[in-house]
Formats: sequence, C-alpha cells, structure tokens
Amino acid sequence: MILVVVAHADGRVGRSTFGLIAAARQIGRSGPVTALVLGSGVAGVATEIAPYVDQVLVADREELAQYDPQVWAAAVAQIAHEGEADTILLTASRSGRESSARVAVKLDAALLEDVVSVVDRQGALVAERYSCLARVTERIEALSPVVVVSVKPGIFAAAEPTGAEPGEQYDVELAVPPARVRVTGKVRYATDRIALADADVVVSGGRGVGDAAGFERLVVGLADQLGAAVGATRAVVDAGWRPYSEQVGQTGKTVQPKVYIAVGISGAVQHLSGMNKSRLIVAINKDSEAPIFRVCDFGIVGNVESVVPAMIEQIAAARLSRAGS
Amino acid sequence: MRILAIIRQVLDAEESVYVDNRTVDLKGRKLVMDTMDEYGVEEALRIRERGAEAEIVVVGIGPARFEEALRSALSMGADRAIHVETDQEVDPIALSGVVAAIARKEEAQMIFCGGQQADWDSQALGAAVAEHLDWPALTWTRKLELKGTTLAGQRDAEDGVESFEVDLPAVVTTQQDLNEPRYPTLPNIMKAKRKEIRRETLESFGVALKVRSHGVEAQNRERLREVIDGRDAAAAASQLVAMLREKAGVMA
Amino acid sequence: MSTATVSHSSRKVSGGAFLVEDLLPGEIFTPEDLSDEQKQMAEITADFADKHVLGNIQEIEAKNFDLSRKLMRDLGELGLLSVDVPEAYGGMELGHVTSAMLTDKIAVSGSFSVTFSAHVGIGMLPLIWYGSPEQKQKYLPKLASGEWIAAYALSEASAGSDAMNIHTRAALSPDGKHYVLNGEKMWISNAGMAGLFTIFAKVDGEKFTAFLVEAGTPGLTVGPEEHKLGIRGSSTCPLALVDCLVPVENVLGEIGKGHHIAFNVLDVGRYKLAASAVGGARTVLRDGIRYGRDRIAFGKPVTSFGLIQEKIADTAADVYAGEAAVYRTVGAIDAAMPEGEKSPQQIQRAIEEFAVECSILKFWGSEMLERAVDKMFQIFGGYGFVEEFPVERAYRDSRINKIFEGTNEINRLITTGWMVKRAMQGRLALLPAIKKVMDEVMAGPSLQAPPSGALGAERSLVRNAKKLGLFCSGAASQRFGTELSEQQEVVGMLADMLAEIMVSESALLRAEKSAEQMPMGVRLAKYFIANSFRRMVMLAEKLVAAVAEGDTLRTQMAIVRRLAKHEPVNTVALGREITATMVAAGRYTVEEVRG
Ligand SMILES: Cc1cc2nc3c(=O)[nH]c(=O)nc-3n(C[C@H](O)[C@H](O)[C@H](O)COP(=O)(O)OP(=O)(O)OC[C@H]3O[C@@H](n4cnc5c(N)ncnc54)[C@H](O)[C@@H]3O)c2cc1C
Ligand SMILES: Cc1cc2nc3c(=O)[nH]c(=O)nc-3n(C[C@H](O)[C@H](O)[C@H](O)COP(=O)(O)OP(=O)(O)OC[C@H]3O[C@@H](n4cnc5c(N)ncnc54)[C@H](O)[C@@H]3O)c2cc1C
Repeated sequence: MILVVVAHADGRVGRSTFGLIAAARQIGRSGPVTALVLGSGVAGVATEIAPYVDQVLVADREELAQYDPQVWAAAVAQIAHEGEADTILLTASRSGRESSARVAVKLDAALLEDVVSVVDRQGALVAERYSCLARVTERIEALSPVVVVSVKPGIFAAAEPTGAEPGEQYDVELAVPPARVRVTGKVRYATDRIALADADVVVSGGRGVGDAAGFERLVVGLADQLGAAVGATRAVVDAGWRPYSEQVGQTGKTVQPKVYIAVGISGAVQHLSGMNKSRLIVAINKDSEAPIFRVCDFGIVGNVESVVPAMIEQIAAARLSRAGS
Repeated sequence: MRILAIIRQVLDAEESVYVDNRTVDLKGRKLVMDTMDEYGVEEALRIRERGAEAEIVVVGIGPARFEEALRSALSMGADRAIHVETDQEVDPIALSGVVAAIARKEEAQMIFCGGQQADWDSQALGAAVAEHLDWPALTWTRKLELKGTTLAGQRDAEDGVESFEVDLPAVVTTQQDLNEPRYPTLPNIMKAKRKEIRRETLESFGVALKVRSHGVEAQNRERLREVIDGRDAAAAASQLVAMLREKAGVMA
Repeated sequence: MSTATVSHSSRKVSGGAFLVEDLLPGEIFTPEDLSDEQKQMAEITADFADKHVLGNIQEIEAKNFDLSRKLMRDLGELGLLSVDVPEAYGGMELGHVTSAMLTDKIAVSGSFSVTFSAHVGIGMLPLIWYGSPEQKQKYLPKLASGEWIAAYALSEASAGSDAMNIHTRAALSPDGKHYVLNGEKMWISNAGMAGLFTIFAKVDGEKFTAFLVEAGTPGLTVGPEEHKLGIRGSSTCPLALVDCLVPVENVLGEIGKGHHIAFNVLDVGRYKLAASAVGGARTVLRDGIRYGRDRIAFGKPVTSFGLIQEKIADTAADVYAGEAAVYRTVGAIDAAMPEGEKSPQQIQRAIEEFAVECSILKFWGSEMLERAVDKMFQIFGGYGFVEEFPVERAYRDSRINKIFEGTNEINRLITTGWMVKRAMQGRLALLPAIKKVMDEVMAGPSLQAPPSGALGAERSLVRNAKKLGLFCSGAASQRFGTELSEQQEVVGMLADMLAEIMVSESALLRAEKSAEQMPMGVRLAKYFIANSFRRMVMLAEKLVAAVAEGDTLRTQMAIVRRLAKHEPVNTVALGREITATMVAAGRYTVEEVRG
C-alpha cells in the first residue's frame, strides 16, 4: 500500500497533495494508492480527495483538530504499520518534513526528504533532491523496504481524478497520544493571493523597496498587474513587512516559476537557493555589483522607486489599449 | 541541567560549489560551523547566562575536520565536546539514533540543533532525535525563555507565528534571527584550548545506514545576464516589459 | 599569557642577517606556523571586518565616528585591542606575530585600518612600553576596552620627515606641578575621536620628551578635520597647544629620551603598516577576481584573458611574498624578546634590532599594495573609476601608505644607512661578505652544484641576488666611501635591492618550509622570485652605471652578468596556473582549489 498523507486547511485539500498523488502513481510500486485524512471535521476533505485515489482512510477526531507533529506522526505510523504500507508520502512543507522524520523513526524506515523525483528500482526507492543550498542535485537510495518520502511541493503536476469510482472511505481507530506542546497563541498570516508554489510569475521584494508601504506599492502593485504571486526575502519578513508564508529561500519556500522578478533584492545565497530554478530571472537593483545580477537573465541597474512604477504604468497602459481595441 | 548542542561543519555559504567525481569538492574551501547550528550554541549559552544552571556539551558527528567547529563552540563558551568521528556520510535518521544514545548517556534535558543543514538541506535531525527519545520538539524557534523546567517561546509555523509552552525535556531547532551568535573573545579562545573533546567511534553506536547517496551533480543553469542601465527608468522599463512579453510570454 | 603559548619556530637571528647569511626554512616563522588558536583569532577578525567594517563602509567613509568608536569598543570587548597589553594590566600579551596578524586581517578598509592601527600601534605602544605602572594602571584598561581611543602626535606643519626638528615646547610651571606645552601638531590620526594623546615636545626647547595628554586638557584644541584624498573615514586633525597644562606625572619615559619612544614605536608602526598593506592587497585581489570572473567581454569572463590573468598572478605572488616577509619579521622579533616582564630597554633593543626589516617592509609593503590596487583597478575597467565599486576607494586609500610612518624616501635612506652603519660598527658581517663575493667572482665560475629540491633553482637565484646586492654595496662604497649618503639615488637602489632580497628570501623559505603540503606556495614563490630577480638585475645594472665608468664599468658589468646568469622560468605559464586556482577559489589562496 502507498499511503498519501493529505494536507488540508480550512476544510480543503491542499494543492500539494494532488502532486503527492501524482508522485505515488509514478513511483512504480504496486498496491492501492491510499489517502490518509487526519483531523477534526474532515469529512469534506475525505470526499474531495476520494475521486483521486483508490481508497481513503479517515481519522476524524477531536484530538487531531490542532496539528501536532508528534501526535500526527504517531497516527501516521500506526496506520502505515497496520496497513502494511511500504511507501508513505508526505508534503515537504515544514510541518510535513517534521512529522515525516518522526514517522521514519517510528517505522525504522528510511527517509527520502524533499525529493523532486522518486521511483522504484528493483525494489529500492531511488530519488533525487537538491542540496548544498539547492546548488546540486543529489541522487539517493533508500536502504530499507519501508520508506517515508517527503515530496517537494510544486514539482509534480497535480494528479487528475482516476476516472473510476471514488475511493472507498474507511474510518480508522487510533491510539492518539496526548499533545505535549501547549500552543498558547497564534498569529496567523492572512493571504488571499495566489500561492507561491503554484504561480507562473512571482514578484519578490527585498529590503531595497524601503518599507512596508513601498513593498505594497511596488511589489504587490507589480504582481497585481502581472497576476503574479508575491514573494519576499528573509530581511523583509524579519522586518515584519510581510508574512513568513511569502518568504523565499533556504528557510522559506522554494519556487520554480516561469518568471521570477526580484525587486530590490541583493541575492544572498540563502535567497537564491529558493528561486534559482526559475526559468527566467529578472532583477532590479540600484547596486550594479549586487550578486543577484550574476544569476539573472535580465537586469536593470536602477532605482526601484522609478523603474517599477514605470513598469506598472506601461503594463496598465498596454492592458487598457488592448481592452480598447 | 545538561544541554546538548549538535553542530556540524559545512562549506561556507559564500564559497562556490565545485562538483568533481559526483562529490562536492571541499579541498581548500572555507569550512565553518553550520550557521543554523551556531544559533543553537548561542541560545544554550544565553539560557545559562539568564540564570539557568547548565552544563553545555557540544556534539559533532563527522570527519576529523569537525574538530575545528567543536573548538569554535568551545571558544564561544560551551563546556566540553563530544566528537564521534567518522568519514561516512550518515543520513539524518541513522544519525538521530546516535544523538539519542548520547543524550541518554549524558542525561540531557535539552537538545539544540539547526533547523536545516546547510550542506544536505535536511530538516529531519531535530524531529528524529525527539522521536527516538519520545520528546516533544520545538522547531523553527524564534524566541525562547526558560522558566524553571518550562520552556516558553515562539516558533514559525506554516501559517503563522505560534506561541508555545512545553515541559522539559525537549528538542529545539534553531534558525536565523533567534539570536545573533557571539564571536569568541581572545581570552576564551585561549581557554578553550584546555577544554575536553571526548572522541568516540561511530562503530561503538552500531548504526545502520538508512539512505545511501549516489553522489551529486552540479546544476549550473546558464543565465543570459543581460544587464541594462536604468537611469532612464521609462526606457528601461519598456525594454523589460517587451522582453517579458517576447521571451516569457507574460501579458501575451 | 606570554608569547610562549603561541607556537613559534623562529631561530634567534640578528637584524639584517638576510643579506649575509643563508637561513634554513626551519629558522623562520611563516603564516603556516600560526597555531590553531591564532588561526581562530584570524578568522574572527576577518569575519568581523567583512561583516561590520565592510558592512558599514558607507557610514564609516562618511565620518560617522560614533560608529567607528562603537566598532572599536566591540573589538575591545573581543580582546582584540589588548593583544600587546601586558597581562598585569588585563591584557593578553600575545606577541608581535598575533598583533601583526590581527592588523592584517582587519584590513578591508583603509580608513578603519588607520583608526585601528593608530590606536593599537603608535597610539598605545608608547604607554605600554615606557609608561610607569601608575600611568599604565590609569590609562591602559580604558584603551584596551576601546572606551578611549589613542593618538600619536609627532608631526608638525614644519617638521614631518625631519621629526627631530619639532618646535613644540614644554616648560616646567613655577610650582613644578605641570609642564606647559605650546606649539602645534599636524596630521594627527584619530585626533577627532581620541581620549589620550602622546604628544612629543622639547623641554626647554631642546630635550625631546613624550607627554600623555588627555583630551579636554585646558589649552589643547583639536582643529577641524582635513579633507583628504583617501582614508576619509579616519580622523586627521591638527592640534593647537596654547599653555596646555600637563601634570608632571604624565611625562612618559625620561625627559630628553622622547625620540627613542617616537622612533621605536614607528618601527612597530612600520611592520604593522606592511601587515595592513598585505591584508589590503588580499582584499582588493578578492574584489578583482570576483568582479573579473563575472564580467563578460567578447563572450567570456575577463579572467580568461592572459593580460588579466597576469595581473592576478602578479598580485597573488606579491601577497604571498608579503605575508612571508611580514610574518618572518614579527616571528624574529618575538623570538628576540626576553620572556616575562620586559624593561623598556629590552623591548627597545629587540625592536631596534630589526629596524631595517621594518623599514623595508614599510616601503616595499606600501608600494606592493599600490601595485595590487592599480592592477585590480584595471580589471574593473571603467567601473573601477566610479564610487560604487570598492576599488575606487582602495585606490584613493592606498596612497597615504607611502607618506606616513616615515615617507618611503626616508625609509629607503634608513634601510641602506642602517646597513652601512651596522657594517661600520662591525655588528653585521657585511664587509667580509662583500670581500668573499669579490674574491669569488674574481676566481671565475665556481663548480658549486645547484641546490636540489622543488625550489633548488630559486635557492640559487636568491643566493645570487644576495651576491648582486653585496657586490653593488661594495661597488658603491668603493666609489663614494663615507659620501655614499649624499648619493641618494644610489642609496635608494641599494634599499630596493635589499628589499628584493629580503622579500624573495622570505618567500623562498616559506615555500620550502611547507613545500610538501602546499604546492601552491611553491608556485607562488617561484613566480615571485623569478620576477624579483629580473628587477634585481636591472637595479644592479643601473647602479653599476652610476658608480663606475670606462674599464671599471665594463669589468663590473661583466661581474653583474655572471651573477645574473640563470635559466629563466616561464612565468607566463606559471602565472596562468596560479590564476586558475585563484579564480576557482574566488579569492587569494595558498591551497589547491579547483572549480
Ligand atoms: C541560516 C540563514 C538562513 C537564511 N534564509 C533565508 C531565506 O530563506 N530567504 C532569504 O531571502 N534570506 C535568507 N537569509 C538571509 C540572507 O542571507 C540575506 O540576509 C537576505 O536574503 C537579504 O535580503 P534582501 O536582499 O532583502 O536585503 P539586502 O541584502 O539588504 O539587499 C537589499 C538590496 O536592495 C538594493 N536597494 C536598496 N535600495 C534600492 C533602491 N532604491 N532601488 C533598487 N535597489 C535598492 C540594495 O542595493 C541591496 O542589494 C538567511 C540567512 C541565514 C544566515
Ligand atoms: C593622513 C595622514 C595621517 C597622519 N597621521 C599622523 C599621526 O598620527 N601622527 C603623526 O605624528 N604624523 C602623522 N602624519 C604625518 C606624516 O607622518 C608626515 O606627513 C610624513 O612624515 C611626511 O612629512 P611631511 O608631510 O612634512 O613631508 P616632508 O617632510 O615635507 O617631505 C616632503 C617630501 O620630501 C621628501 N624628503 C624629506 N626629507 C628628505 C630627505 N632627507 N631625503 C629625501 N627626501 C626627503 C619626503 O620623502 C617627501 O617626499 C600623518 C599624515 C597624513 C597625511
């Protein structure tokens, strides 16, 4: 059995999960592709995922309302063990990577972490992943029969529904351990923008935009014109101008859009590691020596305060004239 | 109380990566303590400086050269070091078993380790160690405070910043901006010379590798690097907009 | 902690010995001999320099002295300002090697290096060496922590090189409690932020004396900042002394012996200047390599062009040899220092012993830096000429090094003069050595087998360079006798020859010492020595032409040619190899780096 742990939020299946299912199908291992839905009040999630998989296991429990990696890992491991899963797939989000490590220890399994490809070769799972701040691709092989895999989001194209009957749903019994971390508060990032991992175009801003208002005006303004997602550097996130969910880089998200536009970003390696796979990189920076210019396809040495508004104006004008004609 | 800080030595982020014979060539390159781990060493020291009574032990599992990183941690103020020497590349899950064994033997109450390794880009070690020990783990912390045996603080969750409380023992993973690691002072460098580094062999822990590496490949995507002068903002912008339309099909 | 806690492997040698003796590699100190602790200190200092000095360079250059002072306090907290301070006063007393090393590693900005060196070097050393216990107790802790900044005030508007001719006067007050200072000082580094000045004045118009003067002392006025070509982020101001009352307890050392203080401190200032020049050259080389590697012309990185590669190889070899010469000298000074508590006389003796090395390092180092900056500037092309690029600043900043701490002319005069004086006093076996060379050349070609080893050819080149130097010294003294000092151009050529010999030999010994572990060092030394020898031969020809004519000239030229005979090294091919490694590393390195 291939177990796919479903990521969900606000009662909806996370997009990355459809990529996980695609990965599960391509892996070349037999057994049903089984979705595992953990949470509280997740009937809708189970129904949503069912058409994409062979079966759905649901643990709808009050205690699972709050995500706790230790608790979730115990649940995943128990179900994987009981269902004799040989492959367990999770999304390589931060929380996914945290619980996948725990699941691997629990199952005495190998962990293939944050992979961009994974396939069975004569019984052994072989995968590729980026390492050294995403500057090399490493090929790794699992040495145990049971393998936990966390899959980098945004790499596998979303799976289509199987076309067959929706997968059968089963409720599972769980021995849920108590959570030990007491979450005493949470400040949620609100964002209604297109998700970074899914966007064709990403406009990212760095400290060079001046302040939070400048970010809004220049970076968000340009992204709006281009229908793009918004990204930010760590410096910007640390300054509190933008939420962490928009951070691109070593300790943030990894993106691979068709076009990545870096506005007032110096291009530190830790940032580059999150975007250096982009098809086309554009940089606007006033410092012609900024490292970002070494990795860009097209660059403008200039002040973002003048270049970006000019871009916004021209794109808007082009749109208007097209609408008019 | 005893605090372990797990550290590794990696290529300095500013150094370029050269791949030869499917391995990253480290010869002659600048190697440093993984910055992510350094935040952990610093935080352990600060916890002690804020009044906790603690012995701080740094642990490195890796080749002989790791000793430099251990020395740096000792110069920063850690009390002693344990070096499990091996030239083998040990995957984080297998490694976590070794760390857990050391933690048990040392009767540690807190373990710090970096949120992500700068060489193998893994985030697994902290959580895996915690699982071995059946401890909670606080990952991606950005603020910590120890009150008695309760650790409170804030951490980055996927969708926001979480405040938490947990009773020790616990594993804590660290990241940039939790603190600003100190430089060792000259007197402390001289003192560190006399601090103990206990050497152990990997074999004595009987680890079984879980993952084998088949080597790496450099990925150098050639970039066009067409850089223009933006003093005439309107002209530069229109060149860029045209390029986006033609080369990238944006706004087509 | 005494110097003994840091390894050194330098034999006790006498100053100037490089000309008349052949040392073995084991007998000099090299950067490879730095202890693990020293290397750690070096790394921290370099990291601090990159992050906090370069990271704030715009502010520093804009004369934000609050920031510079804060950085100095930060360094103080790390213990980096107490390396020369005795343990008894809370210092580390780690010796000259460590001290030079830190000066080298902090050198990423001319401005900040001057602030730093003027403090820990010429600023603090007078007090450290000559201060009374009370004076040290009172001022050293403040200076070691960076709470106070120190300055050294010798020069005056009408007395720069001619420093003995200062006009500032000191007279005892009628109540005998104060000296009353009157006069002015000019070009005083750190003046705008200093808490303590060492001011030189003549008691009763004749007795050269040093005074410790606190900022804010009535009668002491710090004038406005000079508007300078370079090192703009350092403070340089004149001082006015109008009936400035300095307590008698603040006389430093003995009345009438102030010139010893002034000049001994300058010797150290000189090796520190060289250390900082080496660090500066290493920094600018890194900038040049990184820019050149990324700069595309004709579809290729400019570092792929031979004429650019040559500049990188020249500079890398200069840095290697410069490091060798600096560390060798400070290693020798450390080895000459007695253990434990030292009297000012003992310190004075140990440092004076190497005055000639210090002077050579000063003029050679500052000119090496200037070459490095100029070559790297060229790699930047037009971009080098605009302020956004670091090499523009480096170019302006490097110039001062040929002026202060004794102009390069003065240091050339000192170099040759010192050597001649030592020889006359019989303290340096120069005359027998000259005679030996003369006898040898007269006797015709010798059958001495060339030394073996990876650097055998270089060993014999350095040996011949020494012979050329000795021969030329002989030829010049023969011609001018005691009038030699009047022939400054010849004196200058001899100083240049001594510098080539000293630096080449240092490079040779360093490379030999680590030949097996460090093939890159061998390449760099070969490259440096080959080019140095070419310069040596040119100097010899120029000198002989200036001291002889007719038949004598022809004979002497024949001798020069015989001594110059050797199989030349292909420095073009060697230079390309060197550059390939430097470019792969993205900086100066002595390791084998591939990329
Ligand atoms: C362990 C670790 C992990 C990290 N993880 C990440 C990560 O995940 N993501 C990340 O981004 N960083 C990360 N960093 C931080 C990274 O090293 C950099 O500090 C950060 O990326 C810098 O952000 P920046 O480019 O916005 O700011 P800066 O480096 O300050 O650059 C600002 C740029 O804006 C330009 N500029 C200023 N004004 C203007 C103007 N008016 N017009 C045009 N240009 C202008 C400047 O020339 C400069 O190049 C990490 C660091 C560490 C140590
Ligand atoms: C930025 C800066 C910082 C300084 N900091 C300090 C400081 O902190 N403390 C301090 O005391 N001083 C300081 N000085 C002064 C510096 O040491 C003097 O400028 C220097 O010694 C040269 O003196 P001068 O300018 O009077 O030149 P002069 O002595 O007038 O020399 C003019 C030229 O004549 C040459 N010359 C002079 N005499 C001879 C000779 N006998 N033979 C051949 N050539 C000769 C010189 O080499 C020079 O080329 C500083 C100067 C500058 C510019």
